[in-house]
Amino acid sequence: MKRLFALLLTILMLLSVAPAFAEEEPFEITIFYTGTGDVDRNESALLKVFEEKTNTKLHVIEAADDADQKLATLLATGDEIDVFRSKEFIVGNKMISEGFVRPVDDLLEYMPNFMSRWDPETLDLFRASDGQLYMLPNMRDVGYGAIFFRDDWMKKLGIEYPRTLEDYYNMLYAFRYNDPDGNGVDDTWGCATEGAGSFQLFSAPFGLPLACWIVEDGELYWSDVHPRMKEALEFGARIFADGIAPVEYLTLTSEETNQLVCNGLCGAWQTVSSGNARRMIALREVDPDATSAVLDVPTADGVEEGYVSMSNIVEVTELGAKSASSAAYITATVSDEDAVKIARFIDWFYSDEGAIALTYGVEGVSYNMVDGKPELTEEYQNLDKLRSLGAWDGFDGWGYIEQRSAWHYMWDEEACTNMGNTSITALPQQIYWSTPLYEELGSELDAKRKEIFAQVLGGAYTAEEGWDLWMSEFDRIGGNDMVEEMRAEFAARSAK
Amino acid sequence: MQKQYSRIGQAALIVVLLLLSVTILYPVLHVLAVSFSNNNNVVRGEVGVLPIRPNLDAYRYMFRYNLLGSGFKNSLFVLMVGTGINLLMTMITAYPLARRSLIGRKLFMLMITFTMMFSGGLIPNYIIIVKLGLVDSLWSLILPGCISAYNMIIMKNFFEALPGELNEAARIDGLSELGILFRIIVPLSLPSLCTIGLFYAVGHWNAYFYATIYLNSRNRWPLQVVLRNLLENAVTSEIDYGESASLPVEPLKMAVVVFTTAPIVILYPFIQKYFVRGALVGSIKG
Repeated sequence: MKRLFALLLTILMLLSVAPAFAEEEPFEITIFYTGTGDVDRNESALLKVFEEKTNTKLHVIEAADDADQKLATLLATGDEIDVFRSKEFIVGNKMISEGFVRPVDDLLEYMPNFMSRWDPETLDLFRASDGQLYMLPNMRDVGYGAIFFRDDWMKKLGIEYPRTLEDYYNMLYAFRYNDPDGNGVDDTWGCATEGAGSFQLFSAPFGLPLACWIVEDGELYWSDVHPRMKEALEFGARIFADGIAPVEYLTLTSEETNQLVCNGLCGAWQTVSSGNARRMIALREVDPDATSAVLDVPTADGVEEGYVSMSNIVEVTELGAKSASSAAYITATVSDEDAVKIARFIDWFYSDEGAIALTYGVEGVSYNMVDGKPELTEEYQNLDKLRSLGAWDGFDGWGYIEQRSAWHYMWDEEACTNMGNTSITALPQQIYWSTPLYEELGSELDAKRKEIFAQVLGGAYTAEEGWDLWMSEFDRIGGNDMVEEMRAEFAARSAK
Repeated sequence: MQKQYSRIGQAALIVVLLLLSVTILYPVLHVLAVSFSNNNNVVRGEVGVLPIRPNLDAYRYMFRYNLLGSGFKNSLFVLMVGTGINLLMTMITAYPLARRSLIGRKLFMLMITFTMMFSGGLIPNYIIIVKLGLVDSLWSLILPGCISAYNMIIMKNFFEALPGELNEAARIDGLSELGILFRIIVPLSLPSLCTIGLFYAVGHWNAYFYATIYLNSRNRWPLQVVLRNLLENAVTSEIDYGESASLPVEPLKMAVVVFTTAPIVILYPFIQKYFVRGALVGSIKG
């Protein structure tokens, strides 16, 4: 009897502790995702790796085009999304102001890998106006927009590398009038603008990317109405008035600009590095000796650095990353307990293991570790193939995607060099937050600027007239109120 | 003299029609030519109506796309099942409304017409889809738009134009109302049915916006969404591709256009005679 009782007691004890040894069930996370690739992310091999490494069960809601509309619809109807990413910080800021996302300050203690990647001061840039951090910014090392020019023409014509604004003008002038292609025909142009959209060709020497917020000497400026933008407008008008670029170029589509570049008809243009690589492939069919390089933008008097673009830049110092390309957000419907699990999940992508998986895919399938570094297998040295696995940028939105070391698989030496060099004229984004007027008026002001600047370049107005008109329209639309609102917010944040 | 003027007139007409045909055919031929041309020639703007360095790179890239098969299958399903349901539901709605003796006919028509001018909006529609359990289902593209008020009114007008004596004779012969509808009315309504069926079919084939909102899985995307994704993928994907060392982005855009419109272009001649007859039938009230 005693033995039987002891046996029963033992069985009962074993049963009570059994659950403690049982493996924890995978935690389910629903992710809203938009991006490229030709495979359903829910079936991608890489997703299975993520699930295995993080003990999660992932359900991806795919979005095609109109991702913002779908995201807004799902959030407004209370649909169960746990995490989403946004490339556009202004969209993310709207989600914050609508109350769709939760703050993440309380989760940072569970994210050691994430914290180790960031310069501590940088995270403050991403805080909302209430002082809380809502976004988990991510880093992706890509090429940026830049001015490219025919450096073979420059060498052929014996032109020194341009260092001043006047050098820049002279180089473009020579591309136009000094027969750089040597065919005896007056068929080349100094530069090609893509409609009025390539104004960076003229604003970059003045240190002004377009339609963005810049901080100078502790003051916040909307670049399109910075005092130096008037000088940029004068410079652009001079280029067109002297016939270096024809007026017809103001209405060019991107396809038409492509044709000009790819037929060897212009000396300088603005594009992104990968777009330039494509153009060069086409150009070298008609001109095998053609080369292009990123222009280290020569600057106007009193300007320290020329800037062409401000986007998708990763500046990483010893302290960590100082800027971001997009961000992940956790929705407000997630409970505090689940938010911790989600934070741990996202944190894995900032680890070395997670970063390699995001970029290179599945070990043994798309890459192998050689001397501690990932090397793509021959089959996957193909961007489409890599993307079909979900790697490269298939799950862009969190983590650290380090692509620079893999560029050489995809592009030739000139393209890789150019891609790296585009960072020299890219200004790190400094403002990641927004105010209601900025969200409301940003696009309209950008469109009005393009319209008026095109009219100046086309000769409908002088630079002086055009600038006065632009300032008047800027005020009428509400731009000055927008600037004041942003400056007040900037001052409040700076005081903290 | 009159004969001479008539010949001159005919000649002038032929010339004008030829010029018009060229104007219409040129962009079609250009699209075809670009789709079969080398990407670099297209980028340099060298392609007119004949392909330059003809190749199948763009089509090969398109048909290699993993989602193309599922996209085509989904669109075909929505088209066939959707059009069938559309026609059936439209018919059985239009037929009783065509009968003047129907009680409350005017009220029903008012309610239906109201929906042509006002709708709940995207979010209420989405909530309905969620409540019906149709999220991420192809039925979300079929059931909500079951009956188009506009098409229903066209069909109703056509039914009204048919002589009432047909119904009486059929009733005397012992047919039920459903029997009259399917055995007498439908065979007489082929032009109208084909026309309206074509409207529905083209709408289903071109389904895009609601597909992006209601469908969450890529393998349920219809063809238009897949092709849009394909183009986005190509534009953002910079690779060395085959011998041309250049991804055929520009020819691919045109190849997508060809692939999308080809089924409709192939189908149209078979139903053209019905379409011509049926195009105006709904607008004539007898």
